[in-house]
Amino acid sequence: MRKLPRRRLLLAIAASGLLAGAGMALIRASGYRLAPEVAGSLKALRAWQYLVIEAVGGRILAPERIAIGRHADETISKLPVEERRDITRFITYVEHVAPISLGHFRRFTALSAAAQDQVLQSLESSSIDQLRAGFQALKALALMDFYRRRESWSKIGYDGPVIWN
Amino acid sequence: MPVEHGRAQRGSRVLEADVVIVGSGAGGGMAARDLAFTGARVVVLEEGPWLGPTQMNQREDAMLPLLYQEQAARSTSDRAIRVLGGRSIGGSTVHNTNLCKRAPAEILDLWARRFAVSGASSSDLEPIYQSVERELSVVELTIEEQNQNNRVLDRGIERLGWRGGRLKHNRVGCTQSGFCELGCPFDAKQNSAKVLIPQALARGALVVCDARADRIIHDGSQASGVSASTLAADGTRIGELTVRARTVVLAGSAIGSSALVLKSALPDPYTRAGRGLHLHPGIAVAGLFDQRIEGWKGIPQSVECTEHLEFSEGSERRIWITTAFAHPIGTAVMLPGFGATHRQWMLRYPQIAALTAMVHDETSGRVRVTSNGRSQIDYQLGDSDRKQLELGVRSCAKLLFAGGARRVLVPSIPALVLDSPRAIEQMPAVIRPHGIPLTSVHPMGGLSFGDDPRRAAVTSSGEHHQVRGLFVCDGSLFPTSLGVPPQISIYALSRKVSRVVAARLGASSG
Repeated sequence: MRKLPRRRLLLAIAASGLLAGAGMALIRASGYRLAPEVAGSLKALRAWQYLVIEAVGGRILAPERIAIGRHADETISKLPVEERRDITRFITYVEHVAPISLGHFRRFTALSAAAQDQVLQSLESSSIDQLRAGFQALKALALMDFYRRRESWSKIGYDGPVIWN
Repeated sequence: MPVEHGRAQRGSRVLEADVVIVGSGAGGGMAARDLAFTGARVVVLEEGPWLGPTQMNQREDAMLPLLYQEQAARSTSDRAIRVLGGRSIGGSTVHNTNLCKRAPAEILDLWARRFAVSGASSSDLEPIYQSVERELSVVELTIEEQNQNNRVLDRGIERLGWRGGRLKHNRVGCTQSGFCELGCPFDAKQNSAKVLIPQALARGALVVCDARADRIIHDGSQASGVSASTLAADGTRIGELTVRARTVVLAGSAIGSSALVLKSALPDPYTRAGRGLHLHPGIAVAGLFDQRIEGWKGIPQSVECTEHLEFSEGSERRIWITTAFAHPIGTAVMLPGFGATHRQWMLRYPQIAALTAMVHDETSGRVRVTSNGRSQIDYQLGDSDRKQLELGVRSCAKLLFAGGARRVLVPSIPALVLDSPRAIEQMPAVIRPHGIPLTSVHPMGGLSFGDDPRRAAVTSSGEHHQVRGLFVCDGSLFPTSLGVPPQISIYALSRKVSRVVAARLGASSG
């Protein structure tokens, strides 16, 4: 077998790493559509992450339909940096890795509702603690946004605060 | 003299005092009040804001981030247990449910026998408890004050023939609105913010909110003050505040005080700081009823079940049960599942009652500080405590069925729905990390007191074993879990420590 000199080997490794990274960036960045005024106002999330959160929220809150992205972005922006990092990493996992583990070769945001539910159920009951914790964090974001709204309270028979502010 | 706001203080500022107190909760408030009454120059530093009753809007989304550390998202390092603590003038006494229980006599005896704690026996603390309970208007809750959720528990206790009873609380003028955990807009809680801080202010204490203590100033053998940061509303550092004082009192909670000591490079020859952390973790179980319970209305917790709570050393009955109702966000986050299944449970929200079982834990965790200065809570629930919580889940289920529930939901993943009491016996084990929501509202330990420096961070009088003039007067003092809500014991131990501080200040002033 031909051996590459060390310097050329290191350069080759670096180049393929750059190419792989660029490829991932292309995959990640491509095919997502978000209104510029929304994308431009985000504080913690990138546009594609926002769309993943919206898709996850859509299944957590089904059959209700509310957009949780803005509130989630605002909430995440106020978290300590470690939590913010963990959530954004988990969003990447949900979008690109979790579907593959169930035999779906499309990213989460491109799956059918039924397939998305399957992915989320697998995360909720995963034997890996971090995946369950990540799911609970995204679930909490969705539920916080829904149940902070007065119109949601009337649906569940909750009176809300006894004072007006 | 009003409370000063750190968010209005940019640049550098130096204050001189006789004593600087870090934290304004049960421990800090009591120390501030008692020491101000002696005529000492007192400065209190509180990391969180000052929130008056008119700012308590009873909304979960607004108040949880304001009143709780890390926006109510703090957890153990493995994220398995949520750890709640206060962050405002008054600390956790602003959002707690006002339960007042003294430390069990057996626990105080254990501290004396096993942990070389002196001067904190039942007889030593009796007059202090009496004075605290009188000043904070502690009385037993009446039957009329039981909301429907608590009546379910009361009925369950009676029908099963179990031990339990009414709890004591420190409210005056309570309207029973049911929003205690989000702060009281009716100013009914007789807590640190309502009773103690105003008395300290009236006696000349200076209280600075939005001021986070960063480091204890010392020379390795004597404390000489605290270095702090003033904070903007979003928590960013905007200024520097140094308080020079020969006496420093830590009352920033088990987590906060331990972390501050660790950040301050104090001598710690026996590696005591941060160790011996107990969380008193709890689980919640829900019951579904035919009738409306509306558990969010009324005083949240007024009844306890002590059938499985016994404090002798080595006891295998270490479960304390009370009610645990949450408003919609808290309930929704706790319920397992998502989508249509989850929604079906939330549509029955008015018909749900909920109980919590907390374990008087033997597990010993640790507070650490990360490289960027954040607190880290390392805690892995031990087997013995896990078995106790399994007992707790089953006991809550039995109580709910006995109280009239049609079905019982155990919020494990996957969720368990029990259709009859018989199903409880066939239940699989459910307590595992991230397998069921666990919450701690009573972190304790981390800077335990005792006369043996090899086993305790501070003396029985609350003074650091190696650094003179540094005292601790919060829940970090406890060498073990208390097994019951700790607020009254924190107030009491703070008063005890403050007397030592006052004597020291009096002696040094001649």
